[in-house]
Amino acid sequence: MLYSIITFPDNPGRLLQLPVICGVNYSELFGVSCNGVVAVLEEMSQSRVIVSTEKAMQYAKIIEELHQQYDLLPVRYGTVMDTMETTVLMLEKYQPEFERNLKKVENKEEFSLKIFWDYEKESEEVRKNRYDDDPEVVSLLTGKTETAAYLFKKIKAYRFENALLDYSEQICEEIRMVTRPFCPEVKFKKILSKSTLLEAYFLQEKGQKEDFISIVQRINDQYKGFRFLLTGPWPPYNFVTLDLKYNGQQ
Amino acid sequence: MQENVIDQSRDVTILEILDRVLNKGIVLSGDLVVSVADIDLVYVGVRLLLSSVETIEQIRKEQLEAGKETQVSSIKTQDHKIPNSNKNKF
Repeated sequence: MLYSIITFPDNPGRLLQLPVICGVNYSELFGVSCNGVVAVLEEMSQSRVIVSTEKAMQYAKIIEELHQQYDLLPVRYGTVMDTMETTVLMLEKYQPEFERNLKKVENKEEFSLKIFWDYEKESEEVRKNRYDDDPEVVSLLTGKTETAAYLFKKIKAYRFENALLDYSEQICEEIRMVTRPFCPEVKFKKILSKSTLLEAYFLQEKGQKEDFISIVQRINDQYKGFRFLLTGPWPPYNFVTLDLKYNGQQ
Repeated sequence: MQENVIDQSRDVTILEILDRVLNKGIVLSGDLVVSVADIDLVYVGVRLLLSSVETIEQIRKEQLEAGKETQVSSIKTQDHKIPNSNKNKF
């Protein structure tokens, strides 16, 4: 099973001995190296990947342990390589992508912020304070045909959605500005649902946790109507976006 | 209890952890790679647990209204066979 990709530039041979960490299948992890990029593996003597909450949680814990010692790119749970040779060929093929991503996450960790809101209440606020009917549209479409009334309703809904998106973008921009000194990279997912306004992921240097929490607390104080859930530090799961296809013919 | 809460500890829900190991990170697929990365397709049981935060919030709200405790059902273990299973895999 493949756990992660790490960097270890000074390893002379193909195999890398890692500090003793047992995998989810109770075998010790080891590394297979290719030009300083190392795949962290566990040999599987069984033909099955056990999919369970416990195994997945165990896997997460192992990734955490590895992240404390190495810069790494976490691999999605359940990835199994056919042979060691396959692994080496895969490392060779994707070396530039791995190196680029490893550089991005060097000495960094991830934090995640979810902001929950009362959709009905906030929509009402946006409707009152941030949204106006366009007078030209109103004069063109109201009091006329059914089609015009339908169009007017659609335009209103569209403009209101845009006002809501502008509002969430304003909050994102404030978060981005305030966290910029700490976080070279931030990702947002906006208005996910009626209870969740947005999710944000922050990539920052290790060791800045307390300062970062203070900053988020200040943002929370500014938006008292929202509920914040800040979690971390995590390995950089959300900052590794590699979707790689490999077969032996390539 | 303070209405707005920042969870400053690493004690996070199972959902947060599973969302990461099952949905994020490097995805590697191909002929010589066996991946259960599409785990949401093959293992519905886990996907039930990976309900959205919204659903959990909704459940919590309903519990408070009904005054009941939720019993979260345990997830059954499911094995997935790897083809060519005679060889050791990595």
